[in-house]
Amino acid sequence: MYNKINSRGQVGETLTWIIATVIILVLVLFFIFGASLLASTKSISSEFRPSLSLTGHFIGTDPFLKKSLFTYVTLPSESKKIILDREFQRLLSQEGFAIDFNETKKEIILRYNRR
Amino acid sequence: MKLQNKRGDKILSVYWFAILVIVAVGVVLMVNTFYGKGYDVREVEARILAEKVADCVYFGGESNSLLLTPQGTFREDFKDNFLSFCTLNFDPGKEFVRPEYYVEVNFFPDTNLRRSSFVLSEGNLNWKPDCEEKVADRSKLATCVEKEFFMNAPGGAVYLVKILSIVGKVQENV
Repeated sequence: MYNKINSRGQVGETLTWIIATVIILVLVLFFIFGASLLASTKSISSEFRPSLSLTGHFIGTDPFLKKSLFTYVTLPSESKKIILDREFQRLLSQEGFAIDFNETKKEIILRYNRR
Repeated sequence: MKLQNKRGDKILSVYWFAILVIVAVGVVLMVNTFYGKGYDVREVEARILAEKVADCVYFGGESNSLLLTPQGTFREDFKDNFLSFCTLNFDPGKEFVRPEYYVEVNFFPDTNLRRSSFVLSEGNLNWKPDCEEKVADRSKLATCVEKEFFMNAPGGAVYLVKILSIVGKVQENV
């Protein structure tokens, strides 16, 4: 009688350990799968910033916008400036710029006038 | 009775050791899968290439004198020496291997922003169709970056310069 009760207890304890092992295995597999999913998202894209202290105005990096704005301020013809302004607005509404357009424009005009 | 107890302890120690090994292997696998995968830097690479080309064509408010004559006409020999004039090197360094890069520069006059008046292109043109593909997973396709800016040319003309920069590197980066 004593032996029977004892063996039933042992079976119960073994089952507990087996279930615990299965849970640990499932958890480990889940985290490995999660790690592989996260690994596939590793990418340095357009959101990459050269410096963490970068702010959204002139100091930022959009060399293409700066080139265009420099062209804009050096243009002698007012009619061409109007055309360019229209193009800037189109670009701004379509894809936007990496840095603040108005701030950068002001800064470039200021720098150009100081020359 | 005491002997039986000892055997049970032994089995339990082996079990704990097995669990420890499983968890350790799991952690190693997790770290390996995450850090073992390379970063896809092709977009940044393509952007840097576009910036380099833009600086070569137009820098400090002045267009490259090797590209445009003082009268404002394009020099045809710039097309043939585009890479050397812009100090670019697309050579993969191996024989029978095509370059992983492609660059195309279109110059649109302000009078007609739809028709390009001068085109510069260099590199592996086979990457270009990849840019048209509209799929979510682009890891097996080339990365394309298109940038544009306005350029002052001698003679008072203004050009819209569109740069298409493509980086293949499908095997290396992904």
